[in-house]
Amino acid sequence: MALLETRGLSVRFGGHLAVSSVDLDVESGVVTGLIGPNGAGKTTTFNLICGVLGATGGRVIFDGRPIGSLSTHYRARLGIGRTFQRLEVFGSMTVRENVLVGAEIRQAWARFSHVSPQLLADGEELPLGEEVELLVERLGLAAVADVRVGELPTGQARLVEIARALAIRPRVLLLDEPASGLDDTETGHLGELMQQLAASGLAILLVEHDVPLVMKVCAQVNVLDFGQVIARGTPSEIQANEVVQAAYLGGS
Amino acid sequence: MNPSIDAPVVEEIPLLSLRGVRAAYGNIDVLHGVDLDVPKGTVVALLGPNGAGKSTTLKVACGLMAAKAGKVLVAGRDVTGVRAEELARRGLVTIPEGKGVFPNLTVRENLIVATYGGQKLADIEEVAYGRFPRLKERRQQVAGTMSGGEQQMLAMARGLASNPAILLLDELSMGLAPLVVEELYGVVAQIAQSGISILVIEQFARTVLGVADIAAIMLNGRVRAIGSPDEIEEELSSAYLGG
Amino acid sequence: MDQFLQLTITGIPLAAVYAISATGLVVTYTISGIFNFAHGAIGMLAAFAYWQIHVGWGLPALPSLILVIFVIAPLFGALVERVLIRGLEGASEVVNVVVTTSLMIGLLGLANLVWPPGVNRNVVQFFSDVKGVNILGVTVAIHRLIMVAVAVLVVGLLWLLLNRTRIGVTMRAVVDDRSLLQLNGGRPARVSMFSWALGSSLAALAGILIAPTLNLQPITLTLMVVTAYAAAAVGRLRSLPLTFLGALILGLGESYLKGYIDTSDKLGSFQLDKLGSAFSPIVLLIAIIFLPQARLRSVGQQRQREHWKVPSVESAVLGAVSLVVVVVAVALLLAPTYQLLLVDALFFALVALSLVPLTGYAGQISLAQVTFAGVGGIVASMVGAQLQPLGVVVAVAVTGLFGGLAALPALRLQGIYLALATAALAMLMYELVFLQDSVMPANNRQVPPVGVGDMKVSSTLGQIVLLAVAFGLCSIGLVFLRRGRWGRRLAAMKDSPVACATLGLSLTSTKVATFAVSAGIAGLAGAVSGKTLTTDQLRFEANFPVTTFAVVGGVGVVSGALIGGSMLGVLPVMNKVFATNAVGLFKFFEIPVSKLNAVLPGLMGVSLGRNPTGLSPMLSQRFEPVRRSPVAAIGFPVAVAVAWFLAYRDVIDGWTFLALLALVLAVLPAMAVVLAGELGLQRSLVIGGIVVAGLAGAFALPWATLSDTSNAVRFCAFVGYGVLVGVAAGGVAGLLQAPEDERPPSPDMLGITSPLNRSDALEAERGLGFSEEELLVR
Ligand SMILES: Nc1ncnc2c1ncn2[C@@H]1O[C@H](COP(=O)(O)OP(=O)(O)OP(=O)(O)O)[C@@H](O)[C@H]1O
Ligand SMILES: Nc1ncnc2c1ncn2[C@@H]1O[C@H](COP(=O)(O)OP(=O)(O)OP(=O)(O)O)[C@@H](O)[C@H]1O
Ligand SMILES: [Mg+2]
Ligand SMILES: [Mg+2]
Repeated sequence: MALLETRGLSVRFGGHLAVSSVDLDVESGVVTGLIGPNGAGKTTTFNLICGVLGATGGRVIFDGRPIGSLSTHYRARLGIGRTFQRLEVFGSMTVRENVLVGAEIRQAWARFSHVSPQLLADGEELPLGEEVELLVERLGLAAVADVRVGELPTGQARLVEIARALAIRPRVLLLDEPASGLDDTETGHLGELMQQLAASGLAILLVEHDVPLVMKVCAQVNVLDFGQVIARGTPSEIQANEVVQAAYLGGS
Repeated sequence: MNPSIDAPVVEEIPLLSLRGVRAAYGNIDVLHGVDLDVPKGTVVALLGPNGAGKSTTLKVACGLMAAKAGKVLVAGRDVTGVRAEELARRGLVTIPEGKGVFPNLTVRENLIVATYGGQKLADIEEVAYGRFPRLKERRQQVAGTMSGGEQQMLAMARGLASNPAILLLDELSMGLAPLVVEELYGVVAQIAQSGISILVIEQFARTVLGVADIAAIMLNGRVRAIGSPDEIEEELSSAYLGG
Repeated sequence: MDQFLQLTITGIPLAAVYAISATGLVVTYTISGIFNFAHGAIGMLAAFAYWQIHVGWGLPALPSLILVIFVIAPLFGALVERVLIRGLEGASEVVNVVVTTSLMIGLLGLANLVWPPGVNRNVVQFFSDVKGVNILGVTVAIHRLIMVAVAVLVVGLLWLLLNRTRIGVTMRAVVDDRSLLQLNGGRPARVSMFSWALGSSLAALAGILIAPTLNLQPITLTLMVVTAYAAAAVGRLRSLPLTFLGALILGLGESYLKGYIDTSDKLGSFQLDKLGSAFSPIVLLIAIIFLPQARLRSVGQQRQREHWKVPSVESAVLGAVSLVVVVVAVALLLAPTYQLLLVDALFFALVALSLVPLTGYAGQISLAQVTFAGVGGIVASMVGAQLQPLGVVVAVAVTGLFGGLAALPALRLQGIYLALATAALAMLMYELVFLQDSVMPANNRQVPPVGVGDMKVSSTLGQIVLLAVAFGLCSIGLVFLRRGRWGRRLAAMKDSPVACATLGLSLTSTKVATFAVSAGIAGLAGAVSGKTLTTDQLRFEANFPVTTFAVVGGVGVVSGALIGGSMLGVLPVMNKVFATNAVGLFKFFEIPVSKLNAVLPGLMGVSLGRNPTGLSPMLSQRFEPVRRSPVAAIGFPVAVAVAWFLAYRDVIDGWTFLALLALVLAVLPAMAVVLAGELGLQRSLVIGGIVVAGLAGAFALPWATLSDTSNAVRFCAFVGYGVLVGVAAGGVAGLLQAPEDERPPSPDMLGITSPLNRSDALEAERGLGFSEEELLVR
């Protein structure tokens, strides 16, 4: 059984079925891809999983337990972390403070819920400040640690969101187009980081239009179109799939 | 390549050019003297790593941001300090990074606002829906609720439909599906053929170099290298690694 | 049944006017992004203008009407946009609320100034000479029919304008993204001006239509807007049809309540007749509570214009101690009547301080802080003088709880809705609680003095010290919290609520806690005030100035609360200083200065347009050089202390002391620059010369005998003197550089007259010497 599962997940906006009967399995220890054309319903699926939107049908199951009725902050406390396609950083604070706030909020609820160890620290229990430094450094943000995030270019701000999400030590991490706005080198680093996190046991669900990146890091790829999963399989299967080529990848 | 190299005697005056532009946010200098020309009918690609100042260059060029020093010239005339809306009405069309749509207006209303350039709504709708049939389905949807990519399409639709002389595009491909990106660059190449000058800002060098006539690399607020796409492609890897 | 019909038919025209007013509000909000609290006041002013032109100057009704609605009101709206609103772009919602509420207060003051109350001014209904129409046995005046017709027409036309025309769509586009509109070729400046002109016309229309049915009183007409708030809230500030429905509910409801409830009706000791006037706030609250859950919206990345430095705890402690010392020193020099002003100043400072965590740190708006202070005072008084200091503790706890609970329903909302909910709360508390005889017998209530056992704070000086200490301790506490986790969490929540939720933070409990802390501080202010609370002090609109002054002072920092609150508290000093002799000074204008005070809060709000961060950060920036120069930082208190001692010992008189103080403050930044050795010798010497000469002058000039009667002359003289010397010194030090206002050139001036389209581009190239063939090849 996968760590995070959705079964028949659906949502309707007015007459428009944006997500329709989506079944996903997000396993620990690997990166799972979710790709698809614009407007396919990827971001909406994220919103349904973490409770920012209410589903009109279907279930979200985390660690064997249905969580569809929990509010957003409870789902986060169970271990669901995410980033946003349209940035949601704390713009008036520095990079370090952004990450620190995440860690502090986690520390506050850690008294009531179970918290996993920090993966990037190899499970070692670090003092809060050191954990924050570690995250800042591993995301390549050390040079801008004291810059207000509102002044950062989009790409780096995305990295801040990832660091902040990791500060709550999630068990599953939902990344919404983390590489958009990054240059090639940074994208490369990000890919390595994702693989390393997955190797240490994190479940990652990745939405991304940078197809080479997806194909490189994902073990399993789901393709969404018009709110429905039209294909799933290994990267090579997906690349060879004609339906997917026609709907999304194009001839290249 | 730039075709005017063999033009006789007259010094070429590009349609858009920046001369020694410096700009700052508050006290932080971001551009330290940018020189860039966009000759007529060419696609110029401005590449560079995160935070190099590409978007800032564009803001200065389109009049949204005042330059601290230097000049912006349109067809040889100094337009430094002219308001963005005046430039826009005269054919300098800009698609800004990330937020090119009015989130609380419907798709159709977004296109209505695009008519300030002087086109008729019907014409704009025809071009927009023709290029992106998806937008037609979503005519009455509030733009802010559309997916990131759909919003980008709407923004681009305005750029295509408003009959520009100069088109400035910032991170056009951001968040778009590969199929759409490919298609869009096809469009860019097409409209460049019809005599429109285009400045494209991108991070993904690969996609844009295919359609560019001239490419430039920006690093730390300066244009570091300029040349044909082939030349630049070689420099690119070293530039990113060095920057 | 007859009465029901009668009430229904009178209720509908009322509803129609509410609808016009509320639609105006909704439309202005949609097209300017700013909820205009002054909407009612603008209507009120228009009604008075109409009265003046029509009745006062005798112009016929129709031309007067056209003049007011289509000329004066739009011009006024455009002026407001130009002067007040334009500077607000990018400012937070808090600042928007404050600017429009202070506009409201300012206009109210203005109306009272120009049309002094007490005179009977009647506006006759239109067609009052024509007999009414009989509808189902009830005679309805033509005026009322007009009201209904106009309402329907206006709502319909506005809907068309906003959704079907380019200018309408553009007005909404301005709110969304100003610079994107520019990139589209739209002209935001003109469009917003038009928006405000339109909104103002709508306000005028409603004001003029309702004026004949109410009597022409500034406050009544202005507060009618609360009903409009309620109707607008039913329409969720968006939907015109729903707003119309809301207006209908309100008009009919009020009509029935007035008709069916007698003044003598009681439920226990609760006076039921108060329900009538409480109807709009009740509807407002209900509408807000049942508003669909505001989805955790992605606001995207917004750049806030306001940035506040967070002081260190050490400097907060230092500041608190200096505050107590300074306050005592000042109090010792003051005559008893002025000491009472100091009490008020500190009381308001403490109330303003309660807004710092809520508004400054968390970005939430409250318009009910004085109400909370009132609750605190009343609770302390109910507990009784015997049980002090327990009374204070109980009062703080109860107010905190009350604040937390009362805000609970509104907490899932943000920004403007929260402001409206708290305003409704303040109004409800006033109408339903504070007006009850059982709560405020004879309309007042004494808050017992604080003390332990028999030791009570009984003197004014004691009260001053108590309030200063309370302020100091609360500010230290707040700064401590702000620097810690809680403060970071609030700042994070202000930036992105949805991100906080996905990190595992419960937004509701965080906000409730913040509200409770804020209400608790306000309750503390009430409980330790030692005041005699009167119902008038707790009026709904008494809440506005506090919020205004706190924001003007700089609500993000505790010193801002001090500055803002004190200004509000000492405002009456102007009356004292200027009252008797003001005419001598201001004879030219023939306006008694004391009356101008009513307009002052409004003027304060105007300043925010230029400087949304508030006064305190501005001042600390101006005095920044002092921080860099230890000599100046130490020398200043010493100099002031010496002057104070001289004054205390009557070596110099009070006026000379004030002149010295003004002077020292004014030259301080320049001196600091000199002392830090940042200037060349020559300029340092010049500044030194100016300062010495200034000091000599301050000592030598006969301030006290400058005029044998007028305090005002002396007041203006020493302030003017200080400013003059300060400007001279600052100028030499290069500290005064006004940012230059550059006018962008227009492309027409540059010879670009028509759009550059494709053919122009070709033309340009041709002009540059390319041959036809070359161009065609491409
Ligand atoms: N609140 C809403 N109201 C109406 N339609 C909505 C709303 N939110 C999303 N949609 C629609 O649902 C569809 C799915 O949107 P979603 O943002 O999930 O797409 P996506 O797969 O993330 O696309 P992209 O890759 O472009 O970001 C889109 O067509 C969008 O227009
Ligand atoms: N509003 C702002 N205030 C302060 N600094 C800013 C602001 N906008 C951008 N900057 C800074 O200016 C520099 C250049 O930013 P710019 O957006 O031009 O970069 P870019 O090359 O477009 O990067 P990207 O590819 O990430 O979009 C960056 O260091 C950024 O931090
Ligand atoms: Mg998306
Ligand atoms: Mg950019």
